[in-house]
Amino acid sequence: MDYAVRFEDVYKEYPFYQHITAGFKSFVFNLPRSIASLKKTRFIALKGISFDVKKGETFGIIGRNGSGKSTTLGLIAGVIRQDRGHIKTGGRISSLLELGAGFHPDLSGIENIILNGILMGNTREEMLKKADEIIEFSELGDFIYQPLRTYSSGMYVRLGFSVAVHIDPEILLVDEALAVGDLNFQEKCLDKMTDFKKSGVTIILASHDLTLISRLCDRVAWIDGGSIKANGKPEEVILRYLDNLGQKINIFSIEQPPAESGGQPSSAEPAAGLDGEATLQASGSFSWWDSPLIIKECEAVITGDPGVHFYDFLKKQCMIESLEKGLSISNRLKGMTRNLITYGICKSFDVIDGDDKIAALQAGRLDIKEGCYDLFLSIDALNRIENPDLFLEKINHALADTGVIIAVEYIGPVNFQWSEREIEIAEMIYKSLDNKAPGLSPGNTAGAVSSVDVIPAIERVFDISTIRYFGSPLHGLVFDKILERFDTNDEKDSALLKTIVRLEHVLIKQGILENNYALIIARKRLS
Amino acid sequence: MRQNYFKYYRDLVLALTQKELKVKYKRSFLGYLWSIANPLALALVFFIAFKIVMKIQIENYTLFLISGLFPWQWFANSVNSSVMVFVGNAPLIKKVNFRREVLVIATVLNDMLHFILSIPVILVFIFLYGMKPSLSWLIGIPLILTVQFIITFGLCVAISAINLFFRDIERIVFIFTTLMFYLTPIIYSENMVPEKYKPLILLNPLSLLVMSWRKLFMNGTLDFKDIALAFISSLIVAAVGYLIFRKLRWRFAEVL
Repeated sequence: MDYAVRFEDVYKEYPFYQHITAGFKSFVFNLPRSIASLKKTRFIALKGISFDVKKGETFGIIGRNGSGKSTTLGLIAGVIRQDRGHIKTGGRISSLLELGAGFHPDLSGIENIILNGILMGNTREEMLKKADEIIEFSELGDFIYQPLRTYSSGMYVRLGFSVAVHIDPEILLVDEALAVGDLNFQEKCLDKMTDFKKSGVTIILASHDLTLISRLCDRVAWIDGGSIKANGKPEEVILRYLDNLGQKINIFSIEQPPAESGGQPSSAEPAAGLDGEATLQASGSFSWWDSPLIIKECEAVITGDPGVHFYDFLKKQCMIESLEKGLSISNRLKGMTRNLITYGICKSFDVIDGDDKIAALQAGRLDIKEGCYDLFLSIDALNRIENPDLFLEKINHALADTGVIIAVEYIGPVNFQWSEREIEIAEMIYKSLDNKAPGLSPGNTAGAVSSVDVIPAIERVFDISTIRYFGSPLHGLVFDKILERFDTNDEKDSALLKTIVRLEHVLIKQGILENNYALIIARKRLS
Repeated sequence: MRQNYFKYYRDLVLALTQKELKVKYKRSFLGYLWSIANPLALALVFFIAFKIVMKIQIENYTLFLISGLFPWQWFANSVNSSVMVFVGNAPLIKKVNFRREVLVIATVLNDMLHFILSIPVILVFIFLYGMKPSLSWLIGIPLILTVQFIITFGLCVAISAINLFFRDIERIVFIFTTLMFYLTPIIYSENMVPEKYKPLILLNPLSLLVMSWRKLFMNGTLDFKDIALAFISSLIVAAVGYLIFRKLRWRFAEVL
């Protein structure tokens, strides 16, 4: 048996239980109908999927929410059972599906360690032997003798993780569990996972964190709508997945053939993403801002892809606030090549959102600690800073050697005015969305636009690796509206958005609209 | 492997029972005394109501009462708390793969332990009434314990599983145990039941159990016929209960 997990044509459906959990009375009084509806209204979670995970392999599962990832993990863990098909597993399974499931707040840490370990399939004897090691790993010290209710949530998670990784798993199931806890702890989790990988433990990992997946996994399966869309090398599968996500909104890959990442780039845009891919392949090593994945993710952030978590965070800043506020600095990312979209990282951003902070930033009074940043992300902030060169120098010092700056900046003409033609187009689209005029006020969109030319300023300090132009005044006017109502699953909505974006690109090409924003990815220039 | 599995299963049951015990009295000062206080208080109420007020004609009524009431409390407590066994352990059920019935076993064992710990109280009353414990207890207690454990487990495992799907069971169970309490000869003796209803009382395996306990504690005798009957019915209950549980087991994680 050289596989750790084998799925053969596994089919799983869930009845909608509200008929019965709604109550006995309604179930009994509508018995025939209840039974009929139980049989009819089912949610098909997996439509007959097959895959093997070899022993010692690290296998990733990606897909949108509700695509069947968790069901797959649940089936492997054995907490639910398939309706059809066969599942074979070989080896002791430890699940990080939920850290500290089954902990009891009134028991002490050590008591919980023993109990949890036994629940996961160990004997008391085995757990007593491991207890010391677990306590040491958890770094809880004397707290281990205190009841769990006195723990902070971080300590709780630490204990849960410590138990889970110390029961000598042969197959380790991980479901987004690493997105919890502070950054140091996440790092520790990652180290431990890498150790496991080295020592030949089979790891099955379901995550939205594509960088993590691409870094750890030997093979990746992409599940969508209950079936496997792709299964193979991480980079290929992830790119196909992202392409598919991109297609749904289709802003940057307008004229590219679907599911074909190496296709013809549209003439209106530089092919930076593809260059990135080339670097990746050429250098072999993975710098995360060089990764086409990250570039795509950055785009996704800006384009408001609902499949990207980070989107919610930035949508507020960059879309609703019309790119007026928001400078984000992340710290302590050093050494962690992670992507931008996990919740944990959002928390580490120092978000510049208040007027006072912006004022401090503009006047150059913002304190940036030296040498502790890997990433500087700004949303239309550089061009309102009085002395950007100085500011950029400051950032350059503050960034770690591998540091990178990602900026979304207004790149339009100074004192930009809407043209009548533009207003007309915007109103037209707006009407088609809502059948009513929005009451536009022509004038200065980005009121504080200064005369600073951002790209040259950045170029003086940093090596620009990518510039992508996007947007137009139409974004400011229409995008909120679209995003508000946008439903990726609705064909009509997708089509509408596509049309608008196409129109916009046509207008840009014809010179009627100008590119107004640029996504700039630059890295630290080493002197 | 087989031996290891048995060890694991045993440890699992023990660890969960221990947890229940610890959790129950973790923050209370008097600890396990509470598990005796409750049935004793109940016994006092019935004593006042039936012996003092209604002047029921039963000798050694207090002893008569508690020798039936204590084992009943075990049964009733287990059944009443079984509704929450799976519902209350939702995170475990959803995320960890282990033998789910162990949770029920732990609950029943826990209440059984409390019952065992209350036997000294019965002993005190036996001495108070000038009687003596009998050697037959050594066989009788483990024997009836086992039978009652089986039937309680069978009922609890079914109830706890069904309650995941129909939360109404919670209420029904409570009414059921209250009703059963009065249909079982605990506060009265089976001889007081009119002749035509007697078979009905005997159909109830709990009557047989309560009667057996009482005979054992008060007379030091074992009625093997009653115990055998109770044993057979408890096996049936346990088999049906476990089958229901097995049928529903794989849906637990889906409804929680």
